[in-house]
Amino acid sequence: MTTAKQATTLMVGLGEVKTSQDPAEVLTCLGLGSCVGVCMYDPVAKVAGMAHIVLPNSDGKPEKTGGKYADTAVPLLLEMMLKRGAIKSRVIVKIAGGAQISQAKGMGDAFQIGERNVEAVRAIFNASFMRIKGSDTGGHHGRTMRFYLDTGQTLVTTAGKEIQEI
Amino acid sequence: MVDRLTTIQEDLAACSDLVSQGSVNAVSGLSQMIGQGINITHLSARQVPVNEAPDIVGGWEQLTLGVYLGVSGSANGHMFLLYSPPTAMALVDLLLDQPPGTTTDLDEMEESAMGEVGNIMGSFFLNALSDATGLLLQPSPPAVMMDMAGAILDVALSDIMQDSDDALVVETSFSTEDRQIEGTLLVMPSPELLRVLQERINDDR
Repeated sequence: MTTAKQATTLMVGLGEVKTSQDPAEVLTCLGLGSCVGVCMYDPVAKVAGMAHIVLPNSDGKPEKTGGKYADTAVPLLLEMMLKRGAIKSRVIVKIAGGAQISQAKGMGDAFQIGERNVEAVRAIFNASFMRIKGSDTGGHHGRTMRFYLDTGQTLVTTAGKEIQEI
Repeated sequence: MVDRLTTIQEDLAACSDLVSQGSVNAVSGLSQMIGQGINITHLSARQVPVNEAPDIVGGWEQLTLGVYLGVSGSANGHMFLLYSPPTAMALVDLLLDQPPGTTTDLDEMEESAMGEVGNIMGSFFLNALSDATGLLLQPSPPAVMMDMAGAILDVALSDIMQDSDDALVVETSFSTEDRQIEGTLLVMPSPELLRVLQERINDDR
């Protein structure tokens, strides 16, 4: 769990996709509830990227940031990784989030979006012949996902629980 | 989508006034419930990119007690009551008429008490909005959550992001005289709700 002393947080906000090759940077998705954080890493090229996905399907709708929907964010993230020199077969994929924060009754499916997000993300990776190597999804709690470029570790923090590596 | 946002912005002031009035009414509902005066310490209405909305609450990872109420009827919207865990416990003591410090955990009964606070504030908020516009607006049952602030807000943000990259966020902070109870009411109308509110405002002109 060691990290570089001068680690800089590179925040990946809702609907954003970011990549980095700077070993001092920590790609971060904060407070993932129903959203799903997708992390990609090529350990040889030392290129990493992260997407903060909000919704499962774009249905062809255009959007500003490119990373709002699972079906557009995953291909965009991969493309940005390849542009930085990553090779698809080397890319390690990890995902976190997609929780159903409340189990309250009478909410319709408002709180089930997390499950649909995870399903959509998994389906896209299956279709692209990419395996998800580590994941921490579902459940009823929020998460923060951090990827440390210097160590190649993906850590997930949960409110009131221990930090775990996925 | 761009056109819609432009229209929203033009009449944002009138819409946010309505939502602000409703928020003031919600705080008065809480005041009546606990039998104490409550001051509004901060009231703002801002249009922000959706992904910046959690910054308003301060700290995406901050452990927060949130009561969520969905709005349905003429259009959809989202309401959150946000408290720090110690404040939520103090509020529970007040509601259950217990000496301060009695509540140390938030279990079913405590959550149900907090849900009731959400019910009261939500009803007062929506009544004010309905009275002013004649729209039919109903609150969902309250959902009480203790989690990271960002995770709590996801349910509303993901809904709003289906139609818009911007959200109108009306934030009301309130506090009792002794500052024992402090909280924040966050209202995020859907783009659809903003549109119908605006139609009503235009009709009245």
